[in-house]
Amino acid sequence: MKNIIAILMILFLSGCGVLTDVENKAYLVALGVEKCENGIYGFTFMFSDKEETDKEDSDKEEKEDKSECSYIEAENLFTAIKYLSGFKSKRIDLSHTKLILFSEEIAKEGIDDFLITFGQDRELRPSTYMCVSKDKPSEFLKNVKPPGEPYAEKYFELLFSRDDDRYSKETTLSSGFFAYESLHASPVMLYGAINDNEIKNEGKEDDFSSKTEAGDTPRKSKDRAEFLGLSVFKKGQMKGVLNETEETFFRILRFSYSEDYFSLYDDEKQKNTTIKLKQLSRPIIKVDTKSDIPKIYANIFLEGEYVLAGEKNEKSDNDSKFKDMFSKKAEQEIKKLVKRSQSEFDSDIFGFYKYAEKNFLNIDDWEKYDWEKKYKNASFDVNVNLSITNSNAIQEE
Amino acid sequence: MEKKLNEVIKVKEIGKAEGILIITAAVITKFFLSMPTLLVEQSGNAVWLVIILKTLLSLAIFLMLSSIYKNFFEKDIFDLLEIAFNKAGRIIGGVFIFTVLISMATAVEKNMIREIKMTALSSGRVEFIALFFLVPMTVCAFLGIESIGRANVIISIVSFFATAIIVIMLWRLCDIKNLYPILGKGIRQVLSTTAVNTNIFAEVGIIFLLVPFLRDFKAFQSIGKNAILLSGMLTAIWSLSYCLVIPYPITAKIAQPIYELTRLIKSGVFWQRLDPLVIFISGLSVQIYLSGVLFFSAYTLKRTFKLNSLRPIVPILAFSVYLFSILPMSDRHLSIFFEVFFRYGAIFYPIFPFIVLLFARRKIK
Repeated sequence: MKNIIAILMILFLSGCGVLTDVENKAYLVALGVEKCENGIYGFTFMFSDKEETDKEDSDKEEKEDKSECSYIEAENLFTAIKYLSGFKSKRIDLSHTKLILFSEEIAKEGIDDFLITFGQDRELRPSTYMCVSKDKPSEFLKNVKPPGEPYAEKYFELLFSRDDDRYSKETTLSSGFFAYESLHASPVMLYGAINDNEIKNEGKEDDFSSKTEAGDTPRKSKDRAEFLGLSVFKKGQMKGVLNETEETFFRILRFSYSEDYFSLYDDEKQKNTTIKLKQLSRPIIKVDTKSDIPKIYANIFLEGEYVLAGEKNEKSDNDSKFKDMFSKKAEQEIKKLVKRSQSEFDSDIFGFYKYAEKNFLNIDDWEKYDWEKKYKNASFDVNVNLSITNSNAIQEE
Repeated sequence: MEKKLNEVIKVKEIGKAEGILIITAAVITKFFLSMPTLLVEQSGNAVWLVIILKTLLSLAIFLMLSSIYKNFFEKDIFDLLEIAFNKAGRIIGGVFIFTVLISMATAVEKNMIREIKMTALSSGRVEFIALFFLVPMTVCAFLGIESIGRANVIISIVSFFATAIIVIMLWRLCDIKNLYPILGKGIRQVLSTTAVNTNIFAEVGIIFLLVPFLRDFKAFQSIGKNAILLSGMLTAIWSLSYCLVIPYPITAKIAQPIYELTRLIKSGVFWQRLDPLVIFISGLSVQIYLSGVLFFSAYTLKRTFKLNSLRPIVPILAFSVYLFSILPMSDRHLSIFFEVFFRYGAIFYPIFPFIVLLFARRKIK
C-alpha cells in the first residue's frame, strides 16, 4: 500500500504539467499604442530580456540598455501578440507590464476600447501606469535609456514606486478604468514626451508662471524620454494637458500631493523665494447643491519651508506678507484650473461630484440632479492657507 | 430517563465552536463568489446597511423560531415533519431539503470552478478543476460532521488571518465618499432587499439539521445566535471594504468582487499580488461548504427514508454534484441559477422551518 501511495505521490506531486519556467517567458515591460492607416494600430512591445540581463550581471564592464523593443502593426493587441508569437520563442507574459503608452493622436480620437479591454484583462495588473505620449510611443520607448540603469523594468519600477506625488494611483489602469466606467469621473494619465535636449531660456520667473510640459524641461541628458504634467480625458477621449503647475494644484485638490519645491517671484527683492511645499491635511471641500447652479468651496491647507540659505533670516519679518502673496497667487491658479476643467475639458477631473453626492440620500435623486450638465456652470471659490515652518539644523535668532 | 436525540439516532456530538464555524462558513462562502455584486445590484452602495439590518432581522427570526422549538427540542426537523404532516410529509419535506442542499452545492461548486478557471487555471479543464473539490468533499463527508467541524476550525483560523491581512491592506484604498448617496437605491429598496430579496442567511437553516449533533437546547441557541452575528460581521466587513474601495456603479458589474478587490492591493514591493490568497481561502471555504452540504444531503436521505447508514450514499451524491457542476452552462445561465437560488433562499430558511414548527406545535397541542 505504501509503495502505491509513493508512486501516486511521484506522479501527482512532481509538478504541474503546464509548468513554464521564468526563463521561458518574455516579460512585457512597456506597451505602446499608436495609430496607423486603415484602422490599424502600431504596437510597440518593450521586453525585459532575462538572458541578456544575466550576461550583464557576470560582466559589468559595460552598462548599456538591455531592453528589447518590437514593433507590430495589427487590428488589436491580441492579434499583435499572435504575430509576435510567430517569431518570439518565449511565452509572452503581460503580468509585469509597468507602463501602457498611447500616442496623443490616438488619445484625442478616443481610447474607449483600449480602456475597456485593458481594464478587464486578467494578466495586466491594476497598478500598471497609463501615459499619453506627445511623440509616437515607438520613438518614446526607444529613448528610455536611463544612464547607469540597463534594465528598463527596474527603471520603471523605481520611477513609479518613488515616494513622491508624481506617480500616484490616479494614473494607474484601475483608476482609469473605474473613472471611465463611473457616471461622472474622468480618467487622467501621465503625460510623456521626448526632450529635444535644447535649453530654451524663455525668461521663466517662478513656478506660478511656468507652463512647462513634458518635453520642454530645460536639460541635457542621454535619456530623453520624460514624464511631466497630466493628460486629461472626458471618458475615453483626451481633452487636454495639465502643465507642471496645474498638475501640482490638481494633486493638491485631489489630496494626492506629498511634497515638492516651489518657487515664487518676490517683487520687492527682485528674486525667487523657494519653499518646500507640503500638503498639511485633506482639503475641506463642500458642494452646495440647493440651487441649480452648484457652489463649490475648497479650503486647502499647505505648509511651506524655506530651503535656501539665508531666506529664513531674511523672510521672518515678512512671513505673513509672503504667505498672503503665495495664497493669493495659488488661489488664482486653482480658480483658473477649475474654470479650464469646466469650459475646455468639460469634465470633473477633481472629483467634486463625490462631495456633491453627500447631499443626496439616494441614487435616483442624485442622477436626476444631472451633475455633468450642472458642473459646467458651477461657481467655485477657494481659500489657500499656508503656514511657514523652519526645520533648519541651526536655530536663528 | 428520556434518551437524548443523538443517542436515539446514534450520532456523535460536536462542540459549540465547530457548530458556529460550520454555519458561518456556509453563509460567508457566497461572498467569495458573486454575492456582493448581486447585493449592490439590488440596493446600490448601501449594502453594508442591508447586511446590518438583515443580521438583526435574522437574529430576531432565529430567536422566535428557537422559542417555538424549545418545547420539543428532543425531536429533529424530520420527526417534526412526520408529526405535522404524517409520513408523506416527512418524505416530501425531506426531498425538498435534499433538493435545496444539492442545488446549493452545485451552484457554489459551478461558480467556484468558473472562478478558478478564470483566475488561476485558465488552461485547466473543468473536469480536472472539479476533481479538486470532489475528492476532499467525499472524504470529509464520509468521515462525518465531527471531522468536517474540526477541519473547519483549522481552515477558519487560516482564513481569519488571510482576511485580516487583506482588509488591513485595503485600508489605504478606502474612500468614505464612495458610500454616498448613503441610502443607495433608496430606503424602499434597502428595506425590500432586507426583508424579501436575497436571503444571505439561508444556510442558517442547516442548524435544524445539526440538532442531533448538539448537546442541548442552549448549544442550539448559542450556535444559531453566534453564527448569525459572526457571519453578519464578516459579510459586513467584506461588503463595506468592497463599497469603500470600488466606486458605484462599477461595484454592480464586477463578476468576482473579492478577487478584483484584492488585485488592487499594492503597498511597497512585498504587499502586492495577494489575489492567490483569495483563491486559496475561497477554495478552502467552498471545500468546507461542499463537505458540509454533502454530508447533510446524505444525512437528509438517511433520515427521510430511515436508512441504516449514510456512508454508502456519500460517494454517489458527491459524484452527482461533480457531474452537475461540470455540465456545460453559459455564464449568463449560471449567474441566473445562482441568483434565483439565493434570491428565494428564504423558502428554505426561515419559511420552511417556521411552517413545520407551527404545524407540529398545533398537532402536539
